[in-house]
Amino acid sequence: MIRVDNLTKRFGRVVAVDGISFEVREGEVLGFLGPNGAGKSTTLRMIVGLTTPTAGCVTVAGHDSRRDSLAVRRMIGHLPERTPLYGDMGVRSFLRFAAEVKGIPRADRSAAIGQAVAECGLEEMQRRQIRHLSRGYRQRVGLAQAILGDPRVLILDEPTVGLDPKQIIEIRHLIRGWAGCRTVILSTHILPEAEVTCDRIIIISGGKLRAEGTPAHLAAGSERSPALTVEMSAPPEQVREALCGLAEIDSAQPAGDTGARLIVSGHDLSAMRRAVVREAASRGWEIVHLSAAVGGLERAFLDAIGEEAKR
Amino acid sequence: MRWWPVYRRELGASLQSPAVLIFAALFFALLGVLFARTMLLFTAATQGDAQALRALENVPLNVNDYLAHQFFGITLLLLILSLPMLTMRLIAEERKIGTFDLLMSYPLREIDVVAGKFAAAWSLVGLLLLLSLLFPVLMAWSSGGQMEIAPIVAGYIGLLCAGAAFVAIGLFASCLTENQLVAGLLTLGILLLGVLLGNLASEDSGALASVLRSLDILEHCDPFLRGLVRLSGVTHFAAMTIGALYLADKALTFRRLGVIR
Repeated sequence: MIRVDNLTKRFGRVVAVDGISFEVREGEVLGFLGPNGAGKSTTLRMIVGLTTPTAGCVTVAGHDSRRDSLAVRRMIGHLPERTPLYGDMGVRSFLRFAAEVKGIPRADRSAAIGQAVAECGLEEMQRRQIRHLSRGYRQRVGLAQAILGDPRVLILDEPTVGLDPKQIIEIRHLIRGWAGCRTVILSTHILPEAEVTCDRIIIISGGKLRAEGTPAHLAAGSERSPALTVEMSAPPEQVREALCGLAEIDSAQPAGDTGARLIVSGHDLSAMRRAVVREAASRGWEIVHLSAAVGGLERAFLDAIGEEAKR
Repeated sequence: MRWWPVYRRELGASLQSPAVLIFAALFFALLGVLFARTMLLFTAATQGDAQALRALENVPLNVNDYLAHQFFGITLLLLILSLPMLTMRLIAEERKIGTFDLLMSYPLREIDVVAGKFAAAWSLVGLLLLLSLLFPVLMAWSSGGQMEIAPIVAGYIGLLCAGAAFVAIGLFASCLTENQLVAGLLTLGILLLGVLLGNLASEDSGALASVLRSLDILEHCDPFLRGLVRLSGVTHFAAMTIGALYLADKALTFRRLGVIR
């Protein structure tokens, strides 16, 4: 559906995007992950056609985003970075304006606006002026204008930035619900977000593509030494000592700042798990928590960025 | 016809904007004060006041030849000085707050945005001029119906034509920068240069002088303000308008293509 081929963007001497290539299949939700300033927004802007690549090309459903920019923009719904909106307009009149410039036929406009409003949960806010809306609702208005007219492709630049946890979950649900029927690229620097929302993740840093794959695949690939998160009904210090003495376990470190849980690493995940259970049983401790260590993606991310840092 | 929604949005936003309302209020306050001075002098002279007669020596004491001409001259000057403030925000503000990206993510061509914005700002000028009709009505009333309508119509056609060119130049300047102040000052500079060019050349008769004179705003406006609609004047301002809009379109396109930043 979207094909990005050796995409490069230079601003003077600065290379913002450096030869990135990837593809997005129809109906796929692709996460675009990277630290701030990695070139995420510039890449998305080039896909939409807001700025032209210095080299390389983007095709959306076979249309070149440079030569056939109008055709590409007809297929795309875009939420720009920081959700710029016309604050002086009412929600409904803004959406009507968006529907008009998107070329939705007059007869279908009301229905299209109604659908976008319902999908984004904006029914109560239709008459409000945009500048009087809370951040979460502004974000929804931004999403509503993007999905207006049922575009096949959605390009969302940091759709959840600045929202509270409840709002973030709502927006994630919304995006997740589009998987299969719409092709979505969303950029974020929040890892759990990419993990739960996306089918596939691309990590970029310093303008270069660093890693690509499903969240699980990336997380697994990064685990040079597999790890478990362990919590027992005993003082963590005692547990740590006990576990460090086991042959299957290389190290045990406190996880996070509460100190109740430990990150235990070794060579073989299932051997470690058996050893932990055996040890707990022999000492008469109760296992409060035992899981494969989360944050595998976090490690993948840090690994990917680390490659750049080393250069 | 994609420019039509852009036009409607822009005009709607302008009419609701406090800045535009304050702008209009100031415009009319200044126009009123300046015109009142002219009118008082004229009235005094027609009533035989010696001082006023001395001030208006060599001037035809006639409503159309003096008063209407003065009125149009004042309005033109005010337009030159104030329109940069109205046009500076057109594109620069949207670029600054990011809504320009939103706008260009829709299937719009740059020329649609340029045309819609231009038409909206020009409509605003038209609205301003429509409200200023109050002054000619006052003149006609005070002169006891001696005033001719045709020269007034000609004057307004001239102001509308010149206004189109000023708005187009302001729009072009607004496409060049995210900074509204820079856009406004650039427009003001171009327009003042247009006024002063004629003065520079007035003494000279060479080829350069004739070129400078042909760019002079006042030279092209004057016949209109005296009640003459000249085709050459209309085409001059039309050419300026189309030229500036073309440059505005190119400025936006080149920015997207990365030719300019």
